[in-house]
Amino acid sequence: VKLTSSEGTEFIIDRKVAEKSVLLKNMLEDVGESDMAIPLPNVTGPILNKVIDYCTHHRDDPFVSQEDDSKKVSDDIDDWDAEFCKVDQGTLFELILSANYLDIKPLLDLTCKTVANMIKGKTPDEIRKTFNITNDFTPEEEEHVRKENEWCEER
Amino acid sequence: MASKIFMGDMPELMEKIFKNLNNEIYSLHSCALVSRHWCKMSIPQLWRNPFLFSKSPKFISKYISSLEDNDKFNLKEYGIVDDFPNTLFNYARFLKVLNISHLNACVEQWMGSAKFNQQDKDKLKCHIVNLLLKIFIESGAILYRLDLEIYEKDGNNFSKMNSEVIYLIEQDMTFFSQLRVLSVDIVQDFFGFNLDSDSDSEYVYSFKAITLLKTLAKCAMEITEFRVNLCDFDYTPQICNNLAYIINLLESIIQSQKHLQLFNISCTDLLDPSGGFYGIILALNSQKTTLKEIIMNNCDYSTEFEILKNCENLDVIRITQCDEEIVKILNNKINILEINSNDSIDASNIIQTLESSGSLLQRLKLDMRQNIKSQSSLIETLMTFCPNITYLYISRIKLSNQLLEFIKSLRNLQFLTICWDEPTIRTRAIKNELESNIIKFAGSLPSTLQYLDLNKLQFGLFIDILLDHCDAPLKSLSFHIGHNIEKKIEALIRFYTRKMTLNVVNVNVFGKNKEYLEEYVKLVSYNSFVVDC
Repeated sequence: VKLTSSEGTEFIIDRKVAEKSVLLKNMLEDVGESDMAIPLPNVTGPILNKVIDYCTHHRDDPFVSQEDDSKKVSDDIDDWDAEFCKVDQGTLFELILSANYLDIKPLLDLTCKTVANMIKGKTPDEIRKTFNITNDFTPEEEEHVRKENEWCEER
Repeated sequence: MASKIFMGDMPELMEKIFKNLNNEIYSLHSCALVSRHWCKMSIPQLWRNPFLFSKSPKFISKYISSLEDNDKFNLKEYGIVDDFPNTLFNYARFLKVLNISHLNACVEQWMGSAKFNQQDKDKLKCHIVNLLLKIFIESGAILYRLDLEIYEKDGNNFSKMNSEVIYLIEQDMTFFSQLRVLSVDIVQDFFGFNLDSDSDSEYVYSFKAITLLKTLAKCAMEITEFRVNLCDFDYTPQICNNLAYIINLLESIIQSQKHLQLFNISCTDLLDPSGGFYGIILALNSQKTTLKEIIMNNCDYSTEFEILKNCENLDVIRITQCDEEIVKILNNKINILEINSNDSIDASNIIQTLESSGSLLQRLKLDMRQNIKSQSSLIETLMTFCPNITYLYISRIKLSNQLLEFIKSLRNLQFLTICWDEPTIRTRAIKNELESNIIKFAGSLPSTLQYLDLNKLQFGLFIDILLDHCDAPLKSLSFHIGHNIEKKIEALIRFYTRKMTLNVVNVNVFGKNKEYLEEYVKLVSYNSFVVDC
């Protein structure tokens, strides 16, 4: 299967690897065998490269349906996956967007979980600094939100 | 610049990230204070199930704020004179998990901290519970999980729902429409209670239960997980028409599901096991294409279980303290089999299931207090038919050559929990034999093994020798230190240095020994160590 990234770089991958993406799987089923490259205007070359790495590593994993969010055996992220997610924040968010666009549920779950882990245990200010978010609350609003949710602080 | 995910462009992705913070109340609370957009996105997650955090029921006041003025005025009549200023959000709308017991407990606690007249406390509690239920329904909450307890004696649960709430539940089609998890405990005592009197209150109570279950059967068709707990049942149909009707409704709920995947049946103090399951299990026939997992606790054998043979996708069976005959009748191809017993397990009862599961079987847990029966046939069957086991948990087994050969043959084994009888070392011969077996055991551990749980070995005899002969790349290890503490700690450090794979260790060391070990590995409690089947 041929894929073209947003800059026009061509990637050739196994059909089995491509089919980890529900978007590509459906396209391939609709189009059938073809030499035409599938354009992916929303995914840059370096990100597509990472996504292909992920799909190749997990090519033999069982398919996880959208509904099947049931119990996970362990909350830990597997070593390979943890290593895979050791990227700069920009890349991590690009991976989330690509996994969402290409409809690769396990990759989307993994990257979202990684971001959630970056949030865990942080104060609002630390979260703002980590993700470069501007605090647009007025002091009154912030106090109001704090007051209505003060039950969370009493544990 | 911040990612567009966090700027409001992709709310569904931000929601997905926050879902991973489920129950991380502190973190979600921080998120709510980051910015306006973060607040809007995290508040629904934070208010999904506040009743779980009943240590501080202050949040109940925020629900009360959304009441009409006359309802607030009524509360004043009860002595609740607090102000309930308008809130930023309609928090009741975000409720996803409703556990009637937790609701009652929280209301009681909240009343305890509010300034009100103590008189008529029960009446007030009942009034507030009903007000809250009304608020949830009228605010447009759509439940994900509902836990119901239809109890007899404490009377503070279900019977407190007033007619208005029952009417609202009956009329509102959305409240239960997305329900995924339903748990119903039925304690029979109630149904046999005061039957002669045919009192109005009893009639009203069962009418409410019946109306509610009927509504569930009609509106909740998306349930994936259904748990039924039958308590103190002594079923005699002549006198228990209400109970028979309730059971019928549970069956209707099962039958109306589009994709029930997990069914959990528990029996607590079942007084008349010969009564079977009154057709509840038979009703699962309607879910034969969707049912994937069944959990049974304290169930006796009943022919009703034969119906499970028809469930073509049933591949997870977990039974605790049940008649093993249940497993014997099943011929499903199982992926996960878990049997827990306070006594022994006779492996001959599960051999047929293991044979038919074959290479599909990946996770097997046999947890018991007494030594396993028919060990040799079990191992032979597993060796012949089940090469793909990744998770193996067998407590109380003999450390035989056959067992060691079997473990060695498991090419995909990642998780191993095992316990053998540790002999009293009275003679050199006993010592030599155990030592030699431990060396063989260490040598049999496959190169795929990452997790070894020996915590059930009471004395951890020769763990040092085991570690010195172990070549498996263990990441997680648990054992009891027993005697010769220094020797075992040194062996653990040698293993760590030699393999460089060990991340997490659970071992009962304290003080300086603990500090010393922590320089090398992360020590954790058994609870955070253990991986379930």
